[in-house]
Amino acid sequence: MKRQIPVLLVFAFGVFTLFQFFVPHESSEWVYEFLLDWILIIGVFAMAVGIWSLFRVSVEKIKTRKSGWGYSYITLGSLIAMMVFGFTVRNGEAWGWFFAFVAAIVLAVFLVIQAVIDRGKAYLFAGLAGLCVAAAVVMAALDPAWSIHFQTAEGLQSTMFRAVFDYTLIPIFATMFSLLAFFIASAAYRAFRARNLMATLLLLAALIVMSRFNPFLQPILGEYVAKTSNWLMNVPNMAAQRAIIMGVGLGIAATALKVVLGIERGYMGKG
Amino acid sequence: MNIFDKMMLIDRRWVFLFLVVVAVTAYVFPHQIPILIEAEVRSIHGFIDTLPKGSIVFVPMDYDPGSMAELHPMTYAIIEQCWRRELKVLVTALSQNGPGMADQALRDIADSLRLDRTYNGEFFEGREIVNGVDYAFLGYKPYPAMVILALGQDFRLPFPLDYYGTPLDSLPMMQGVSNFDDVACAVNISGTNATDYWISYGQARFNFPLAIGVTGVSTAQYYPYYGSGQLFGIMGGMLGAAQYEALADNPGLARSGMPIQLYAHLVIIAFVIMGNIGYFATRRARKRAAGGGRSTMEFTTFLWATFAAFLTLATFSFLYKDNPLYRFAESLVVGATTGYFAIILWHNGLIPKLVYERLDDGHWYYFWLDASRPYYLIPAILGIMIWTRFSKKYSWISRWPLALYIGIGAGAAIPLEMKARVNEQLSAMMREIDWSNFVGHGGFNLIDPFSGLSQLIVFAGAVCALVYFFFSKAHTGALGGMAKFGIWILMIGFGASFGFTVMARISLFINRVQFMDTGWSQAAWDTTNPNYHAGFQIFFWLIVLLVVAYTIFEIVKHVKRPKEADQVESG
Repeated sequence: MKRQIPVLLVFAFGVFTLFQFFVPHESSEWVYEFLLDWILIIGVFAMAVGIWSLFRVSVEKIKTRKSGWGYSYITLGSLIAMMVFGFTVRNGEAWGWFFAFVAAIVLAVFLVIQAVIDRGKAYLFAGLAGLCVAAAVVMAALDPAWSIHFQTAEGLQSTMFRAVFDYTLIPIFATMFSLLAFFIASAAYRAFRARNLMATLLLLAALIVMSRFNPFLQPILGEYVAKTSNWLMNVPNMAAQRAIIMGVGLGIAATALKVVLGIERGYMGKG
Repeated sequence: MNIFDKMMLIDRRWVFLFLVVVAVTAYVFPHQIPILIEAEVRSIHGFIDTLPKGSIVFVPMDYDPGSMAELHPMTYAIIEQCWRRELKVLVTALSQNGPGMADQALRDIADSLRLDRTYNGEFFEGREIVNGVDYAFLGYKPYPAMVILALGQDFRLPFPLDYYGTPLDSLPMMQGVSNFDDVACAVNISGTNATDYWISYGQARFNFPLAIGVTGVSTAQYYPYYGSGQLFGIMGGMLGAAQYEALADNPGLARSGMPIQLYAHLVIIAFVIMGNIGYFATRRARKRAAGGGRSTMEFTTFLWATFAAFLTLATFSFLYKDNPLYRFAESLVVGATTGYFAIILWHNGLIPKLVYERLDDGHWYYFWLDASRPYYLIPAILGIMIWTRFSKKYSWISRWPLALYIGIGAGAAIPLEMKARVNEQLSAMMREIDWSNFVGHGGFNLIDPFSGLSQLIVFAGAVCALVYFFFSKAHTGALGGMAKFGIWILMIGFGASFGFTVMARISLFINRVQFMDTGWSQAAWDTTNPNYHAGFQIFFWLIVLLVVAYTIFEIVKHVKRPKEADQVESG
C-alpha cells in the first residue's frame, strides 16, 4: 500500500500518457485533458507546502533562538504583510486605518508564535492575539477607505502589492544577482590560468567571446574577432552543446522509462 | 613576495573596487558603441516585422527580478514593436515572480505607446493600449511543462481566467483563439529552465515557430536548437537585447549599458592577463628553484525609490562582508517573495481552478456545489494529501498525488525529450553534412561557420564529445583519440559559455547602476520635475549619510582589528 500503489499509479499514468502521444483519440484526449487539469490543481497545493515550510522553519528558528533568529521576525512580518496587501484594495485616495489593520494582523501572528514558544504564558499571548484580530475585524468592517477581496483578483493590482514588488523585491533580487558580477570577475582572475592545453582552449574561447563586440579591436583586427567568435559559437560550441543536449535527452528518456517501469523509485523517499 | 606573486594574490575586494570604479566612470561619461547585429537576432525582428496586422504573438515571460537587467529590455523592445505594428500579444509568466515582472512591463510599455514615435524612419501615432483587445495576460500556474502541454490543448484549460480575474471568453482578442494553432509565433523570454520546456513540450509537441530571449549564462547551450531549426532566433543576454533595440531603432537600457559592459570586460580581461603573467613568471621561478532618462516621480514614489536605493546599497554591502544591513534585506525579500507567491497561487491558481467560477452573467458560484462536476474534488483531495509530507507517520500518503504527477511527467518526457533533444539534433547533424556546402558556403573556408569544413567539424566534434561521455569502454587507441578531440571541443564550448556568463553578470550590475542614477539620485535634484518636493533631497542625503557613516564605522573597526583576523577575512 505504501510503496506498491504509487508504483502502480506511476505505471498506469505513464503508459497512458505515452499511449496518448502516439495514438491520440477523442476519448483518450478527453481523459488526458482532465489529467492535465488535475495536475495543475495538485501543483497549487504542492506549492503551498513550500510556503508552510518557510513559516515552520522561521518559527523554529525563533523558538530555538538560533543565530540570527531576530531576522525571522522580519521574514514572517513581510510574508504576512504581503499577503494582506494581496487581498486588500484601496477604494479612494485615503488610506484610513489600513496600515493599523496590517500592523494588527502582523502583530496577531507574532503573538500566536509567542504563545506557541512560551507555553507558560500561552493564554496571555493567545488572548492578546485575539484582541489584535478583533481590532483588525472592527477596522475592516467599519473603515470604508479600503476593502478585502478574497474572491476576485483586485488585490493583484492594489497600490501596496505592486509597490512592494517594484520597490522591495525587484531592487533586492536584482542587486543580489548583480553581486555575481564581482564574484565572477574575482573568479576569472583567480582561476583562469593557462595551466594546460584544455585550460588554454577554455581561456581563449572565453576571451574571444567576451571581446566580440569590442570596437577598440576593430582598427587592429578588423572583423576578425567577431567572425571568430561567431565561428566559435556556431561550430565548436554547437558541437559541444549538441553532444550535451543529446546526452541529456537520452538520460531523461532512460530515467523516465525506468520511473514508469518502477525500476527507479527515488521519488518516494524513505519509509 | 615578489611582484609576480603579488600579481597572483590581489585581495578580491580590490578587484571589486576596480570594477565598480570603471563601471561607474563609464556610466558617468555616456557614449554609444557600434553594435554588430547577429543573424539569430535579426531573424526574430524580421519575423515579427512582417506579420500581418492582428496576428497574435505569444510572449511567455518566465523570469524573475534577478535576470531583469538582461531580459526586461528584450521584452520592452519586442512588445513595443508588436503593438506599434498592431499585433496582439498573449502573455504568460511561469516563474515564481514572473507575474509581477510581466504586469510591470505591460504597464510601462502601454504608457510608452501613448506617445508618437518614429522608428527606422516610419512614423507611428500614439494610441491607447487596451487589456483584452491589444493583449491578454494569462498569469501564472505551477509546473511549466504541464502548463505548456495544457496550453497546447486549449488556453482555457490552464487559464480559465486571465491574471486580473476576467474569464478568457469575455476578452475580445481571445474570441476564436483556442491554442498554439492560433498564434503566429512564440517568443519565450526566460531566465529559468522554462525555455527547455518550451522547446521540448511546446515546439516539439505542437510545432509552432519559437524564438527565445535568454540570459547570457544559458545562451550558448541553445545554439544547437537554432542550428536544427527548432528555434527561429535567439537573443542572448544584454548584448542580444542591445542588438534588438538597435534593429527596432528603439534605444533603451540595453544599448546604454553596452559601453559599461565593454569597459567592465576589459577590466576582467586585464585581470585575467595579469593573473596569467604572474602564474607563468612564478612557474618559471619555481622551475629554476627546483629545477537613462529623468524621472517625474511624486513624493510617495520618491520615498519608495529611496527605500529601494537603501535596499540596493544594503545588499551591495555584502561585497565587503556579511552584515546586519544585508541580512535585513535578505530576510525581507525571503518573506515578501513568499507572501507574493502565496497571493499569486491564490488568485491565479486556487480561485479560478477550484473555488469559484464566474458565469457569463457576472455571477460567481462555488465549483464545489456544482453537482455536474464532483470530480474536481478528487484533485483537491489529492492536493491536500501532499500536505502529509510534514508528518513522519503519514508522509507515505503524499506519494499518491506525487505518483500522478510523476507518471504523467515521465510518460510525456519519453517521446518529447527524445524528439526535441535527440531526433531533431541527429537529423540536423545529418542534414548539415551536405557535400554541396563544400562548394556553396565557402567550401573549405574554416572561418565560415556554414562551410563544408566547419559543418564537418560540428559533426565530428559532436560525435567525439559523445564518445568522451561513453564510459563503457576504455578511452584507448582510436577511441582515446576521439575522446581527446571531444574534450577539446567541450572545453571550447564551456569557454564560450563562460564568456557569455561574464557578460550576463556584468549586465546585472549595470542595471543597478542605472537604477541608482536615473531611478533615484537624478530625481532628487530634478527641480524641473512638476512634482518636485524639497523632501527629495532630504531623503537623498539621509541615505548618503547613512552609507558614509557605516563606511567610516567599518573602517575604524577594521583599523582596530588584529592583523591576523584581516588575513583570514581576505583569504
